[in-house]
Amino acid sequence: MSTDPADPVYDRADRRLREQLGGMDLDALLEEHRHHPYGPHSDELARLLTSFRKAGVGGKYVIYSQGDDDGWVIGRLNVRDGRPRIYLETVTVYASSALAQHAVLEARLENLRNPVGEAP
Amino acid sequence: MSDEAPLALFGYASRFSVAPGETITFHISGENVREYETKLVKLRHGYDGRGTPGFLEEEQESEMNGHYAASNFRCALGSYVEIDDRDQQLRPDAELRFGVIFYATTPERGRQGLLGAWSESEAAGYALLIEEGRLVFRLGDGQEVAELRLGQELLSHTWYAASARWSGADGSAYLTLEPCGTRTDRAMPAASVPQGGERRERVSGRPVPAESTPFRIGALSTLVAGSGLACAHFNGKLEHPWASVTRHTRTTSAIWDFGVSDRPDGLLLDSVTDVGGAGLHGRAVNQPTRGVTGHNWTGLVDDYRAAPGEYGAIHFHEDDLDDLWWPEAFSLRVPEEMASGVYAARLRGPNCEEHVPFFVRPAKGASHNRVAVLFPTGSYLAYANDRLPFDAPGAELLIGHVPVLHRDDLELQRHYDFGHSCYEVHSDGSGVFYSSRRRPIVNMRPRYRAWFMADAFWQFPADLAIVDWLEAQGIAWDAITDEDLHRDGLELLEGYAVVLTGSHPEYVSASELDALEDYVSSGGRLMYLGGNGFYWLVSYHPLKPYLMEVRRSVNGARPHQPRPGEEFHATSGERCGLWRNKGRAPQRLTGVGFTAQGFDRSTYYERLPDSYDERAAFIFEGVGDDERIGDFGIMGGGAAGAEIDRFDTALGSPPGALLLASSVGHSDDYLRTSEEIFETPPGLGGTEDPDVRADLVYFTLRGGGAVFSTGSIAWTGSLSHNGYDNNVSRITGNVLRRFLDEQPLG
Repeated sequence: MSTDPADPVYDRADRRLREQLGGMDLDALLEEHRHHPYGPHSDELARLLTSFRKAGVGGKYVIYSQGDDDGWVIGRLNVRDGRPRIYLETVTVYASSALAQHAVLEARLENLRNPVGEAP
Repeated sequence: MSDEAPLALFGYASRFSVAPGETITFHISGENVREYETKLVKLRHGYDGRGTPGFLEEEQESEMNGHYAASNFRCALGSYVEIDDRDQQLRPDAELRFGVIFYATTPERGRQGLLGAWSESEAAGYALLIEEGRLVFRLGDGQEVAELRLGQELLSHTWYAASARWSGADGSAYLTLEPCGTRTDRAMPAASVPQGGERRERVSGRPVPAESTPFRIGALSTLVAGSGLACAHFNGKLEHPWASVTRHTRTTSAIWDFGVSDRPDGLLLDSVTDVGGAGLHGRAVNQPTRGVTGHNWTGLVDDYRAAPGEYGAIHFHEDDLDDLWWPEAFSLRVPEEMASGVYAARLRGPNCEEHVPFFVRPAKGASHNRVAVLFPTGSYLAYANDRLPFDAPGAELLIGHVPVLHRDDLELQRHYDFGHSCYEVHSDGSGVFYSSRRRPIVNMRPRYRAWFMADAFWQFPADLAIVDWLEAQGIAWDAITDEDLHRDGLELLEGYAVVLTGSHPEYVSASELDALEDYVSSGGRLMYLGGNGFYWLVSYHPLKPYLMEVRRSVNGARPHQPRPGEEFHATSGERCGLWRNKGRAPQRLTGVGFTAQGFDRSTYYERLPDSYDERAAFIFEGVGDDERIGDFGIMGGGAAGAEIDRFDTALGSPPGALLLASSVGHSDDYLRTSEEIFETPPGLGGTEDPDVRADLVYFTLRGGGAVFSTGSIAWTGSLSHNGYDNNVSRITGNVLRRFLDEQPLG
């Protein structure tokens, strides 16, 4: 399998970013996001969110609206046969897209604290 | 999600816009649906969220209403050139030589036909193709297949010349590959070591194409229901294909020069010319990209019409599309008494519903209302079927929140066969330049919600908000479209006292821009109710008005850009790009022009000193001196947001224009547009850059014309707040009523 000579550069940047994020008061940032899921956000929270948003398509979170009266659920994208596919987690239904936005951040932070090998 | 295909109906109409006396046809495909009911409806409001008028449609009596049997139709994507070989000159019985210069962009992917007359299903004919990253010459007579395969792995984005030969006299076959070694290969030839090769064998098979197999360039064939359908599409550029075929002792030689136009204007449309003298001309199918550089491009010239010899290539894509050619399901001859407006064919089947929208405009010369809404159908085409939340890694980064998908997005994900938007790239990474309305446009449904605006609307449903607002105001109006304005020019606008734009008229042609400028310069009054308008140059195919081209350019807020030397539109000969780069920044027409974008949340406007000028008093009747304007709305909670425009005299905002109000409080997700960033300074976000703002502007012109601009896509999303009793609705109404008053403006 061919590798890009630049891969170690990105790996190093990712490690350093995770170290920086580890130094943040994540509980405080989570609380800020709970109150303002669509912003405005402090510089530190914006930095945290940007780090998650930069990830590639594979494993990325999406929110799916089942209709205004039927709630919002979280999904993830997986690339199969070169095409992204959406896998929805329909057990937990959120009453608003804002609550679903916050649930995604909670899931990402959980993965940051306890990595399981998936993209954040 | 389950892979099981649900019940669904999809459709498109033969035109966006139709006048009384004309006929529009509808083309419908059902998925697991046997029958559906069609009803003509008039659309009044699309967005069905809480606190809004909701989805409003009115059923109409019509000859097209009724029950119809549903059939399922395929979507044939992928471009190629088909040669008109009615005399079967390209069917050898003694000798065959053929070849092409190629630049493969995905050589590693599957089987891709370069040229020839080969049927996959019948194993007959001959072709040069790429298979498993290697060059292959295949021939067969339906019984026996022979092939020559080179061992060299082809490099992507690298020019090669390939040729093959077969002799019936001794059964010898020969295949050769030679790197062109150009200075525009992705890597220096000396660095990437592209290898040539050759192979020579005696074969027992013969190249005998089946009756139904045409000679194609960029694809192979397979027999389906008696026709040789195109398959195994090539991704990349092909140049200078040629064939020399001996049949019945007569040799025919054809050379196809893709840089040669058969038109006086030199445009490269669908015709392909055989310059070899055999008269074996061809036709490009599914709109491959022409006006692209060949292997010999010097970089000294970038207009394909100025140096046709350097533009002898066509770029083919396996996912190109210009017309699905679904058969007509039903039609409507628009009655003389049918009022102008927005309509749809509503299709209902078991557990599924589809709307196929269209616009009824007044007939030429007929009496009409004094107000026209110019629906930005060019922008609908640019955004048609965008799938960025699935395909673009940067989508979430751009919009500042996790994408919020809806049912329509999932249907789009199931239907890559409905083709791309101009915001996407082809499967080989090159930008999508063309968009057609002869295919279902899933995000042009009246209730479509935009994934990037957290349950808000965009384009067509956002413009329906103007429709219901006009109805609520009791103001009679007519519907016209970009396509109408492009075709008819100023004549379409003459007689209208006021023209309202849609929420995001971003993509306009030269004739549209000319007509609008001439309209306001000759007494017309324009209300620009949107943001990022009049930004990109587009053109329409002269022979296929349903097809729009936009190549963007090397600056501007853009999802992709053309390759070097490929900036001229094949369908018009114009250099692509921003109108601003042609000396026609949007500020000239509307007083404001694109300055920033962000999609996290919207804000509101604060009044500026010019708003208290007596000339603007009519605009603010009923609005308090310190009132925030538009701190509410569907689009991110405010009237100022998404894509926003600013007043700037240096870019053409007219002298004497009044800068009435300006938005505040944008986040750093709003960044200044890239064409204004020359170096790489910090501080370009909404919290730091004072040029990140939406401006409300008003000005008058000699001759009685006037312009009012909101500079924000989110504006129309605030109109219906509180039952239309709000300051956005009030200001819009104040302006429209005064603009309708023929008394001179102050």
